[in-house]
Amino acid sequence: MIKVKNIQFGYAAKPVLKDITLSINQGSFCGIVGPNGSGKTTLLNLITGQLQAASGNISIKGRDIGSYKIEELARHIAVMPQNMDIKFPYTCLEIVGMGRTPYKTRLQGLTDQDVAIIENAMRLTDTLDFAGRLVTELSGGERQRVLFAKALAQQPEVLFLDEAFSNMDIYYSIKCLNLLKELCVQQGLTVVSIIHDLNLVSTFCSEAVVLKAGQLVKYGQASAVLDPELIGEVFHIKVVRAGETGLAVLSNL
Amino acid sequence: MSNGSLTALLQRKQAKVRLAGFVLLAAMVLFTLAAIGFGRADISMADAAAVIYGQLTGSPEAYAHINAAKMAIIWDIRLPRILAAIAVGGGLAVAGVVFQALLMNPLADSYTMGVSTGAAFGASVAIYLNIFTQGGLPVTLFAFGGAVATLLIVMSMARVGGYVSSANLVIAGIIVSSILSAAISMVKSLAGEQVSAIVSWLIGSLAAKSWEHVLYGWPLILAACFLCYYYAEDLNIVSLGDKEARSLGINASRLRTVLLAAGALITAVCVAIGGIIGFVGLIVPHMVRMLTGSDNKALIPLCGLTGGILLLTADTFGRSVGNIEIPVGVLTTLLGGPFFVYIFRMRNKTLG
Repeated sequence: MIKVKNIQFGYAAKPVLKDITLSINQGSFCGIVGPNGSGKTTLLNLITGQLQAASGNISIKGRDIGSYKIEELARHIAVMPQNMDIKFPYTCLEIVGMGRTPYKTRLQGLTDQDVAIIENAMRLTDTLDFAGRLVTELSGGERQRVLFAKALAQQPEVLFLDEAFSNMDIYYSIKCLNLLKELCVQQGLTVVSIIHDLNLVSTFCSEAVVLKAGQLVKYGQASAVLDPELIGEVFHIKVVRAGETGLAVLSNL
Repeated sequence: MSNGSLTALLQRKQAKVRLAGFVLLAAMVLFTLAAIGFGRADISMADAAAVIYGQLTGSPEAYAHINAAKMAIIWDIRLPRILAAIAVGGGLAVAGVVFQALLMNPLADSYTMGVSTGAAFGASVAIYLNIFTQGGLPVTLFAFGGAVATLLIVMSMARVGGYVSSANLVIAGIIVSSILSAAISMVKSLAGEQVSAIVSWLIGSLAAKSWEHVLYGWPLILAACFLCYYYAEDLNIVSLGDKEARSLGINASRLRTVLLAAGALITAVCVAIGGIIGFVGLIVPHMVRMLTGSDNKALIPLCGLTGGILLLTADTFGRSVGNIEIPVGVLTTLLGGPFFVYIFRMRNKTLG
């Protein structure tokens, strides 16, 4: 689904990513972990075409990312950022409805099918009750659910998330991650997500990428990558195995 | 919520917008006819309607009973001025909506970008040259040139690596605008005792607007407004940020270039017709947004209508209330400024 080959990227001569190569298959749920400033968001921005790599190749569905038109790419991938500053009081329905933009021609209203897709996305994220409310009046976690509904309404084949559930309470972040996992397994959705909580990565992700200082430390099956020793070394913390897949961080550094 | 509730919600919103549009359109027609009756010469609404009907359908018998002087006041003096007020008010309001969404700043309008200051500078130069050369330089054309030149300068300043960001546009607009303000002051001081010609043009007035202004103003403003309406949904998305726009398949940088040009065209025409008329582009979008929400697809036509009615009302008030005509630009800023402070405070309270 996604192939990244030897990419380099830097801001003003300071390298941010060095020679990253990885390949993500359809249907996988890939978690990206790493310390602050390790290049996670930059990697995501490169794969989604927001930034251009200094060298190397990135392809989605076998085609170079640069060969897609913007409106064409939006029918294949959706991106959900961590923070979105919404300045104008749109209703939640209007926000989720924007997810249908890549499939519409201008001045054409929402079709019945569009409305059905929107309704389904809002039901899955428990946001139907917000439909008529203003998005500017919601709490941070509620707003993230609405934006998640928008991303689902976009019906992407690959969904990119940058700490997109960070403000949700634990109930909803687990609920949304479960939903993503289901979509991966049942409908072949591919998810690439930056997640800070290592236990959530080990519980929900099929694969994991560990970045440190712009370099790929390890990439592979989540259970293999999230090795206590490796994670402890990357983050400079003490980690022990807890249960079968979980990790427990010891508070005394 | 049950099944189909979203459809009901969408239909309710659409019905609300349609109703608002219908009421505003009816109000606009009514206000136009009523405004013809206001002023020193006494004219009834029926006479006004008869003249308009007769002229539009080419049947002079419809207004045969009205004497020629009255007829001239209705058709040649008041009606063009009223239509100019509607075009300028509606245009400024739509430009305000567009600039706010494009710059992701609810407090932006066409003045933020320095476009109107550019138009004013162009006009001042023309008036100044006319004073000393007795030449007949067209002031409106100079105003238009000033606006377009300013937009190009601001855009090229804001462009970094082929990309125009909203923050850069605001900063570049402020810089260029203050330089031009100083330049206008210089032209004024050079004009010496003739300064009043420039000042009175800058104040913003719709006095003595003729069919000539209506005939070039309406098509240009209407065409630019329709272009903005065509991109209304893209505008919604771009108002969430460039990254978001890209993720939904919209090239924010390109859209910004197209719609800034449309907004600047509207502003240039409005300033060329009526001089500097402040606050319409700021107040109208805020009022309408509070009533019908932020969707630009509804906002653009409703603001166009509301802005037109508002400026028409203000201008009619200004020309008929006292012995001396109050320029509409003074009126909108004098009343609009405090009113905006009120809206601003209300908004901050509800957000806080």
